Amino acid sequence: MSKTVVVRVSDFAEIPGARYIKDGDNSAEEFFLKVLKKIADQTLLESSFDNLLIDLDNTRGYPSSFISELSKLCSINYKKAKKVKQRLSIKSDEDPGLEERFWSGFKQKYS
Amino acid sequence: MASSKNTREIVTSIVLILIGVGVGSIINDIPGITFNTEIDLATCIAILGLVATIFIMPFVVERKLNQQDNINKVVLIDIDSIYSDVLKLKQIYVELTPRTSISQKKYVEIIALFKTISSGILALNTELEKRQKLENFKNDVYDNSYTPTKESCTETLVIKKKLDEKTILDANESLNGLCSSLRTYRYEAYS
Repeated sequence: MSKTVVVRVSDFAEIPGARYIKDGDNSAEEFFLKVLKKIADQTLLESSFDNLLIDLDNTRGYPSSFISELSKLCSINYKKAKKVKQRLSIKSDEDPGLEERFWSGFKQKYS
Repeated sequence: MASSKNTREIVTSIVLILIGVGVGSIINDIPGITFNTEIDLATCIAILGLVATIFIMPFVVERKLNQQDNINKVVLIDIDSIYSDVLKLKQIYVELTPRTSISQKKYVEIIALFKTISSGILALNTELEKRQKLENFKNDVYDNSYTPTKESCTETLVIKKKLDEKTILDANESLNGLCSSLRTYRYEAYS
C-alpha cells in the first residue's frame, strides 16, 4: 500500500532564503540537505510506490533562486527514480506559477 | 428617480395608444384601401411574439450590457491593484544603491510583493483567457514579463548583501517592462 509523505517548506522557514548555504539562512540547499533529502530518498528511491508532496504554501514568498536551486537538486537526485513525475508533486495554491517554475527547472539537464 | 422614469414611460405608452385609437377612428375608411379583419392563428402568434420581443429584448440586452460593464470594471480594478504592487516594487528598487545592503524587512517586502503580483496575474488570467484580444495575457504578462522580472530582481537577492549596479539597473528596466505590459492590457480591457 502506497503512502504520501508531505514536506512543508513553511515548517522549515517562514522566510525562505536564497540558493546556497553560503548565501545565508534558510537557503534551498539547506532545506534540501537538512529536511528534504532524507525523506525524498526513502520515498522516491527506496520505495517504488510512495509519493512525495512538497508544499510551498504558507511562506512569505520565494526568490527565484530558491525555486530554481530546489528543482535543480531534485532533478539531479531523483530524475531517474521510478515514475518520478507521478510520485513527486508540488503544491503551491498561493502562487500557482511556482509549480510551473519547479517543473521547468526539473526538466532541464544539469552536468 | 427610477419610479418617475417608469411613470413617464407608462404615460407615454398610454398617450401613444390613445393617439393610435383616435387616428384610427378619424381615418376610418381610407378610399381604395380595405383591411381584412380576420387573422389566422399563425399570424396571431407571430404578432404576439413580435410584441413580446419588442418589450423583452431591451431588458435582456441592457442586463447583458450592464453585466459586461461590471465585469470590465472588476478587471480594471484587478489590473490596477497588480500595477500598484509593481509600482511599490519599483519604488524599492529605485531607492536601492550599490552601497545599500538588503535588510530582512526589504527582502520580505520584495518576495511578498512578487507573490501577490503572481497570484493576482494568474487569478486575472482565468477571466481574461476567455476573451478575444486578451487571451494572451498569461503569455505576454506572466511568462514574458513577470517571470523574467522576478528573475532579474530576486536571482541574486540575499539578505544583508548588496546588489551590484547592473542588477539594480536590470531590475528597474524589467519592472518598467512589466508596468507597460500591464498598461497595454488595461487599455485593451477598457476598449
